[in-house]
Amino acid sequence: MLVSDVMTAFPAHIRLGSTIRRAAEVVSVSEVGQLMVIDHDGRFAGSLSEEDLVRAMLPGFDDVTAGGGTLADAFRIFLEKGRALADRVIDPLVVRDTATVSPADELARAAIVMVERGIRRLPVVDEGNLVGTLSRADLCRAVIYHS
Amino acid sequence: MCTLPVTLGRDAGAAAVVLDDGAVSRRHARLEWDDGQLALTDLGSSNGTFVNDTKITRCLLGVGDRVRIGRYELTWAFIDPDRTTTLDANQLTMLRPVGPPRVAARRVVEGAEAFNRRAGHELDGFLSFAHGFLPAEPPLLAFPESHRAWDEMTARLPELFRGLSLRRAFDAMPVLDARPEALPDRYLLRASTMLGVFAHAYQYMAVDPPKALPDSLLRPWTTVSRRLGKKQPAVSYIDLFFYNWRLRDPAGPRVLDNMDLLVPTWDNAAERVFYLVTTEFAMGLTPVLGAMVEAQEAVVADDPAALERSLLVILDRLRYVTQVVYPQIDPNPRGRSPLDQVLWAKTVGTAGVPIFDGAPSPSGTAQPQVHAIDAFLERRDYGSMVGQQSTYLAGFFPRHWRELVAALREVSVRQYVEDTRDSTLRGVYNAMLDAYVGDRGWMGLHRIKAYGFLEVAFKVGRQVTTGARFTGLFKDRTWDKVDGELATVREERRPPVGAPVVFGTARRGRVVTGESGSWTCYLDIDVTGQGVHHLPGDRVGVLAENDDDLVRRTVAALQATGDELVPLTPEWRTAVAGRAGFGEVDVLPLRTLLRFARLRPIGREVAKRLIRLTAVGAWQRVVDARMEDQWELWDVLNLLYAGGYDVTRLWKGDLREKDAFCRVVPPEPFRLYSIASAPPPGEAATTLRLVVAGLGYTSARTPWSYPRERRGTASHFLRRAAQEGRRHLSLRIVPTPRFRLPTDPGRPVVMFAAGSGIAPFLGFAAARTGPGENRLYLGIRSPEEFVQHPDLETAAAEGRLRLSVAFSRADAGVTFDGARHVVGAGRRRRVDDVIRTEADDLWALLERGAHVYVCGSARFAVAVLDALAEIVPGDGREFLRRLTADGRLSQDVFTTYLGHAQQGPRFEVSELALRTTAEAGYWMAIGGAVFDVGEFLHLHIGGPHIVRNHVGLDATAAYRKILHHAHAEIDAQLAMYQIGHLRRLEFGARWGVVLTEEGLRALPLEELFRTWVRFVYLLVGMENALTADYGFTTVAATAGEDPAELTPFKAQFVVEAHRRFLVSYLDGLLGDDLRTLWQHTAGFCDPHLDLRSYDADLSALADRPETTLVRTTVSAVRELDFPRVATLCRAYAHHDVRLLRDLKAAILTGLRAFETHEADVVERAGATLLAAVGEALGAVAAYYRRLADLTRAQGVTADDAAEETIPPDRGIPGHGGPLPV
Repeated sequence: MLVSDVMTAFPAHIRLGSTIRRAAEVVSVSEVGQLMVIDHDGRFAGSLSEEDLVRAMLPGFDDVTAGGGTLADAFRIFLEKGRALADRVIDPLVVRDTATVSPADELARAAIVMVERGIRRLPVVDEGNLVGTLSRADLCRAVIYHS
Repeated sequence: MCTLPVTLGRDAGAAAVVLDDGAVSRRHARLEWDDGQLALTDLGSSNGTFVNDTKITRCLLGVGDRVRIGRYELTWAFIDPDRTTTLDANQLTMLRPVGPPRVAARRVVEGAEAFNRRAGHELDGFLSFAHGFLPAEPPLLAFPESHRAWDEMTARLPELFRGLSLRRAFDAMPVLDARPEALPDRYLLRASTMLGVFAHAYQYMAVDPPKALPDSLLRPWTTVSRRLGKKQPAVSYIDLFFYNWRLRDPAGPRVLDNMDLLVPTWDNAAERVFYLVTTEFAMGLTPVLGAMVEAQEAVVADDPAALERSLLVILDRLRYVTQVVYPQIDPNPRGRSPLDQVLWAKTVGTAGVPIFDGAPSPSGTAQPQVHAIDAFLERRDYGSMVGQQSTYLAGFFPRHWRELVAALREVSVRQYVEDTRDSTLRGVYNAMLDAYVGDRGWMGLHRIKAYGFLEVAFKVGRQVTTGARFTGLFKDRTWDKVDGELATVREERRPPVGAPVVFGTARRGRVVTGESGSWTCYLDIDVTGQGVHHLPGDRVGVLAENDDDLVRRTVAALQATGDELVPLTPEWRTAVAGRAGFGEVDVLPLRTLLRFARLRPIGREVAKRLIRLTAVGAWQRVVDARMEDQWELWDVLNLLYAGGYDVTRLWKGDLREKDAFCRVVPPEPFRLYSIASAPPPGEAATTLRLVVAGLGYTSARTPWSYPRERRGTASHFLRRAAQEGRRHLSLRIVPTPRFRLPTDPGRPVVMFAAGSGIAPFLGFAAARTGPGENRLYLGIRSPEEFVQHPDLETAAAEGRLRLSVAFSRADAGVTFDGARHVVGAGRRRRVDDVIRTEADDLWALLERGAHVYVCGSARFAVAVLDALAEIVPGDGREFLRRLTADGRLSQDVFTTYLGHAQQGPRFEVSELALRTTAEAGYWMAIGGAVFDVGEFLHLHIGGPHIVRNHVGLDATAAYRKILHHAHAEIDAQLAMYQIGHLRRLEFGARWGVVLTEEGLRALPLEELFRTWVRFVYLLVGMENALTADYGFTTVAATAGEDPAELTPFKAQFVVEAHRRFLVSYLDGLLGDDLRTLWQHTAGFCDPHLDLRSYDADLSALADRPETTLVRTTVSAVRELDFPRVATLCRAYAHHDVRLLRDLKAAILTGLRAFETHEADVVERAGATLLAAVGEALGAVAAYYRRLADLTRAQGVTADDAAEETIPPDRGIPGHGGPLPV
């Protein structure tokens, strides 16, 4: 079975240069934890995970000590950072050297890289263009449920 | 036979007749046929060719002429071609050397003896067969009149030390002439020892070094050193040990009891015992020198019998010095020659550090006899730090020693033993090697002992070890690093010849089954020709094999066929090489592997490894409950498979995989049994008798285990061997130096045994043929289990032995009818009942110096000792302590495994942590169990300091570090003192958020609890160390002082310890450990706490005037008049310890909150936790206030003094200064 047989063909994606607020919107609407990112020419550029969005809001030790020093301050700064981040562009948070698969790849090949590297959703890329994504759920559905 | 012409020489390539001797040139001489006559021509050799002892260049040989080349005396015969037709006319016979071959080492020793005799002094190195590396002439006792000033100074050193007035006295001493005109050669060694000791006393008397040595010392010392060929003045091993003794009775033996130090420094017990035992150690090894030479000559002469004799001499001497001489350094205060480790650390331990950089130190690595044995055993590897130092120091050896060490490398005894494949020689060689480097041999014992000394020493801060200062924080555990070095050095010594095992053959034995179904097996193992030289009381280790049934179950649980080939790790390869019939193999079929693997019960390490590999929750819960020992491997595998783990990974993976079988499951270890027989003295054993008690029990029905019949692996293996007969067994002899018969055959011997504990006493009964009385008290259950033993019948018939048997489950008794012991009427009773009944009789024997032996389970041993303590008049416990210290009470305790379910009471960490004083008692935890060591600390062979260092805390790591857990005979004794287990707290999956320097983290609540426990243990460890440190004020540090008196000498150590307390203990505690504790706790308990407030509190504390005063005035204290110094010292000692106890009390309130509320601690007692940290800081503030008041009261003010810094470490702690390499 090939990747193209199973993949989600219209993946949630976002363009470079979008705001983090836009990314958060896409994440919440699509309920997908890993957004695909395409550049201005429509070619695949990388991926952006909700985990990285959340991590970006977590204050460091120095942030907390500068902002009052209590754990409650840390929790407050977390919210403030979220507000401050919303209008910034996503570009610095995009992971550009993501592992990808091609539509013609065997499913098993994709499964191995996902398990070994802890990837939940793989971009499917054909000649530089994003053509879909393959999630662990896609694999389970195709290989086990429909077997 | 060879054909003429023929060349004789050392080089196999150039000469037809090869003479293996360094004195022979490569091409040395030629034999040829010269016009009908035999001619010998020297080929320009370095050492000449001799005919009838005349050096020749060319000579015609006649019948009867003796030819000598190097050490070879050559006899030759010419075969006359006219008389025999079978040989060619140009042929000639050469024979091998006749008479005893003289190896290079013998020539060196004999040469040295002759040289020293001729020279009239021994400046080129003590070396003789009679006295080894010690002077043939005892050290001189006095100088001529001209140098009497030095002699007179010697007696005054202790007193000068005591009052710290030593430097003034030497400044005033006249400068004496040490040039040859004024001081003849024969006085040089005495001068070297004395001036060296003086100089070091001057240097190290006070904690602060002097600016320079005074002329009165430096000038003559430099002259003397130069005359001895030393580039710089330095105290050598000769100065400090080999030329620093005198005999009390000049006609008496060279042993500790008959010796005094020639130039004592403090003249305290530690100095006397440490130096003189080291010297006696070298003296005890003297016969080894001759034996090594004879062994090499036996190799050259191809004489295996002579080689065995020589190796046995070496074995015997190594055992003697290890088991008799070395233990005289006895940390037990009740011992005959006690040595207090703290006193040692503060005085002797630092005395030898070279004053000048690069100078050699008198470290143990400078011992010539050790270098000689290393050379004899062909040690090649000197790569470790200690090894390098060892090589460096050997470079300073006198000429004769250097030559000897080189010469001993010329003949390889090991190669010969390997080539001959003689099992007797191999057995003796390996036994000798084991006696030298084995775990229970000299190096093994030394490592454990040194570890104890170093640990105590570092904790009490030898401010200078033999080269390095102790500046690290308390928790850095510098002593562990030093110990690691010693372990490496041991590995560097030569490996054994073949696997270090002996092979035996089981004979058919008998199995005696009691009423209850329990059985005992009596088994003889034939070890003829294996070179087994053991002493009565020794143990034998047996490599057991698992039975077919267990192997089958395990194969099935692994879902394998059993034929799969499994790769072996190095550990496994070594273990398999020790199996009869197996050599060096890399893989084994799974079924064979399982026969040799440790499959039951599951050890804790394997259990934890399986958790890491499989993450199966059910198994995790079993291990958390410490119930893994209720399981066998196949059980566990089934559980893991049910939990989703692919069990085939264990045998499918290669060795790189973490779950390769050999990386998960260890090989079956040697199981120890007491040897129940004794060979005639001096002879090799032909038979080893074992008494094996069957082990069987039912595992417990608990939430973490289910009931199932379990069997002991080794006991059932030996039972099978006894029933089948002829089975080959792999054995290892394990000496038990602490379980030996008295050397005096007239001493009475009293033995107590339970069940199979009779084993060692069967050997004792056979060996005790002297006039001394022997009593054996045996406890068994019922008459069916009573067995007549020929050794006991013989001994009883000859009137040497009285046997009393106590049956615990039958009304019966045993009497001796003149030929045999027979069961008759009697009452049921236990051995301790018999002890009480025969109290007067036993006491009479004890008063006559009886040696007492106990062999049985831990519970039996406790019952016997309790009964003995009751029957002696006065303080029974104290009596047993003294008996132990005298070496007259020996125990061989074994564990009878009963499964884990009977765990007894549970204790909390907060309770354990309080048991650190005589009033509260002394407890410690090892492996989750709690022990009351209050009595044991008086019995500990390593002395009370080491035990005291670990009371009130978890000592598991320290216990394992010195391999106590791996030595069954030690580990089993623990059970005698066990009172329960530590309770395991339940925190569920609770977690919290904490802010660390690395950012915000989610931490399990259990981890927060562990942080608290670790902190408490750290405090307790410091409290223990500080108590030992300040305990120094109550020992006699110099000869002739009242131990209770605080002398200026001792006071300076108090000041030093106090300074270390502030820097090494307190700063680390507050700035690091307590800070982390606070950060984590605050995160869990109060989100509105400013995390910087701790640092703010701490710096506010540091800025307070009383803190500054306390910390900056420590060095000023030394300038005060002595009464005020003494007052402050007492205050330091008291308040430093009190602070640690106050801190502990504060933190324990928090710990108790954890213990009370467990998972709910944050909600219910978060405030208590935070308040505990606050109280801790409050305790520190109060401490500074108290000390500041006391300091001010003595008139000391801060002014603008700055706190002194401590300079960094140099060199290898314990092993000398930095090397110029």
